[in-house]
Amino acid sequence: MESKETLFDDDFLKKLEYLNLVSKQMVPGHLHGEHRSKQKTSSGIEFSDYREYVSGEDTKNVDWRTFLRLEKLLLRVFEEEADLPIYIFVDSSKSMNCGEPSKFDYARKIAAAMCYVGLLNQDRVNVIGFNDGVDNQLSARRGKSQVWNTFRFLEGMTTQGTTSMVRSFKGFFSSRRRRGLVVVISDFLDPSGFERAFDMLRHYRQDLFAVHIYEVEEREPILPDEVLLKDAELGSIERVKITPSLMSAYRKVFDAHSEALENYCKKNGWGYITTSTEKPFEDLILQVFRQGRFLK
Amino acid sequence: MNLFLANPIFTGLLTVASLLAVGVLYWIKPPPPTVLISSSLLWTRLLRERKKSSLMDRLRWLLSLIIACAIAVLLVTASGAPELFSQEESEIGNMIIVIDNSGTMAALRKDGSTRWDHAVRVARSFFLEAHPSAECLILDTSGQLVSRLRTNKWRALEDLENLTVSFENNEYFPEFADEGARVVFISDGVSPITTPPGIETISVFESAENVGITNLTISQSLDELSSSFRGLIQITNGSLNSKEVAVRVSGLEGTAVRESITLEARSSGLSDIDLSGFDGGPLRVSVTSVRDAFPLDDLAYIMMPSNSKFRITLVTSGNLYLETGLKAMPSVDLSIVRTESYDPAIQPDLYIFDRFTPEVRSPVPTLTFLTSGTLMPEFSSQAIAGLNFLGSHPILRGVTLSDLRVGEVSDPSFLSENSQILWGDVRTPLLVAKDFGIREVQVGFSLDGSNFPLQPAFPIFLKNTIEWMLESDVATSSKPGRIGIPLDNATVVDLEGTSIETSSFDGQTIFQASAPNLYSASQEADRLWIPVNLTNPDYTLINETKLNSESVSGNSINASDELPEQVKPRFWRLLVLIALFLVFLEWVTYHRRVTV
Repeated sequence: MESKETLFDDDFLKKLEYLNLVSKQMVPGHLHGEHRSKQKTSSGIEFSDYREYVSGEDTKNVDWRTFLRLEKLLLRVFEEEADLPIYIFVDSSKSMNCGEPSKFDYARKIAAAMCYVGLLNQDRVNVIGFNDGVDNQLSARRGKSQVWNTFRFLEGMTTQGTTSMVRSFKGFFSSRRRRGLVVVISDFLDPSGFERAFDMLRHYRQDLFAVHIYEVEEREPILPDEVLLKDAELGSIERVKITPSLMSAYRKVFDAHSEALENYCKKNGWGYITTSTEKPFEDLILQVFRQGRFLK
Repeated sequence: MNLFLANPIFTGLLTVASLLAVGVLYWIKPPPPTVLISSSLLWTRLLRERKKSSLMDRLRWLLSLIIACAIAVLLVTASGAPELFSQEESEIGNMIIVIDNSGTMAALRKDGSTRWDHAVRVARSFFLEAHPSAECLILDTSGQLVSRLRTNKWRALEDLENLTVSFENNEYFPEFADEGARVVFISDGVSPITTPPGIETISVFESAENVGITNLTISQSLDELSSSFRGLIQITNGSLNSKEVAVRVSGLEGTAVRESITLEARSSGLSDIDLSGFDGGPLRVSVTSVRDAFPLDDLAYIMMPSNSKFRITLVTSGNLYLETGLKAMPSVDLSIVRTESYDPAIQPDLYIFDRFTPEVRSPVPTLTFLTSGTLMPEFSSQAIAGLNFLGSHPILRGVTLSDLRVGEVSDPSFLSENSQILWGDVRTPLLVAKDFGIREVQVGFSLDGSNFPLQPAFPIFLKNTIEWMLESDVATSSKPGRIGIPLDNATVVDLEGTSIETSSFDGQTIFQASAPNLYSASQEADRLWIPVNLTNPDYTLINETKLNSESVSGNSINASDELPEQVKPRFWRLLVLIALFLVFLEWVTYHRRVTV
């Protein structure tokens, strides 16, 4: 596992610059602040529509020319140009600490890359470390100047505890949050399952982009004939006699878990991507860009 | 079927111990390694689904334990000399077999095997059919097996396999305590073995034809003017019909003489063969006849003395008896030297010193007649003959000292326990001979002080002494069997040059002569010829059996039947094979995991 000091080194930053350039080419015409909110307001620059004036409203936007012509009070309505909130949830449970490189380091690199691109895209980026609840968070940041703060925050994160996405999402979204894009970077090994947590996000009308990280040995473990499997989060030990058929069944269970995640996301129109820690993170980010869900 | 184990209690204890060991090993099997995994979520889900197969896992574990136990039991049982036997064999009967291994048992039967082979097969069949728990003992008539300790039948079979036919000609029925055991004597009945009454005897006799050499000597020609030799060969026909016999005498240089004689049944004939064509040395005599069933007596070897004359120098101040006697010997080239003219630089084949002792010991063999010294009491011929414990010595062969009178005697210059050949009743040495190195004979009295030169045996004594002293390759005849030669750590080879295994004991070299041959034993410069011949009518007359159909008692096995050749139990091998198969099965099942 890489140390905190070397997690985001120069090489990593160069890759981020490259990813930023690539992201602009892949999503042509994207400008900072261009993410449109669906909310129509009286403020804003770009005219959207007319609506009837209601008594008591500010008359600043009354179109007097139309009143003279039609003798009706109509208000000019503008489409609000609002930045998109991005909530990047990084799983910091103990299970993320496994593998070489660890899933946690890999997740933080992905989170850093997304933050970098998001901040340069003038999005409001929130970074939340979660395990069995919200562990720590970096509130909404915007602009390139916040890149280093974000990186420091990510570097300062540590793994601990078990995984509970329900408790984490509930804790975070219980306070009023704007609708935005929720990126969850996790191994999704939540004992209570992911469905309830994802249902909660749907309830909060958040858009979800799930990044499922696993290490290769998680899917293809190399185990002796008989083994004591120790849960990294719970510390529980299970005695297992390994047989080829058991291993085959395990792979099926693992794949079924990934498929369930993907199907759930697809069903809700959400983004989903799965990767092993052996895959270069920049390749993964480009894959994210190609999906077109992270940058619009 | 029942299972016999050599030591069932020990094997049982060993089985229990091994089963306990297997169980303990399974019990204390080291814990499996711990592997840290991200989450047991998926494993728990999987194992919950597969919980129904845990019974099968337990069964698999149990099966593995059973296989391991079975392997242990099989191996332990295999180590206990197991043997399967049928219920009918359950009656235990101890068995003692005495097998005749005298020389005539080497006679061939019509089926090509020997009587001995047949006797061994009969004995083997008795042992194989004996109950595994029966106490068995095998004994022979030549004393090759001395232990009277009863063993199991497999040990007895091993002893049986180590027995060989003996030509010692000293067969006897061994003594033992039967203690209710079944005693069987297997013999051809030819050897004069007296069996105790009540012994169950099985005959392996089958009449056969045989002609053999029963005596072989070489003697000088009757013509005294000639130094040539003649070979006298006694040939005996042991067959039940007359035989045409071809006799052949051959030497090492390739010279051969052939002769044919006809012999009636059970009769002997003499073949007198002129050996003037041979220079001397080893001779091989063979007889050939049709359908000879006993080849061991068809060959005989003998050493022929040299035909050349011996150069002998007599150093004397004058001795008519000696000069006359030596001049009369056709094989002697005599030189007479007066004592004052003795020149040690001259080296003949043999010096004869008459009342003269040179200052320096001669490097050639010497016969010395000492000067008389001490007065000897007269003693009779009986006294001398009775005290001559080396009467078989070549020097005294054919020498009769019936009227010997000795006046004075002198002490010889050397004397040891084995050197005395003739001595008086007060153990005064009269004749001493040194065997090895440069041979030397000293006569402890002067000829003029005794009546020895007047004895008829005097010329024979002179001839014997000269021949013995000048024959370095002296031959010592023997018969097949264990032979000891008076040379320490000698090398023994047969006539074909094959080296014979030897052992040394008490200054002797001992080797086993399994068949007639001409052996030579060498130690540095010393060489000894040992013709080993089976020239004994007791062996040649192979049909002189005392056993006939009436004398064979309790013949439970027909000796002419084909008998099994099984030697060793094989059941333990089957058990080991099964154990190996189980090891392979366990490996395939639990390590190759072909079943899961």
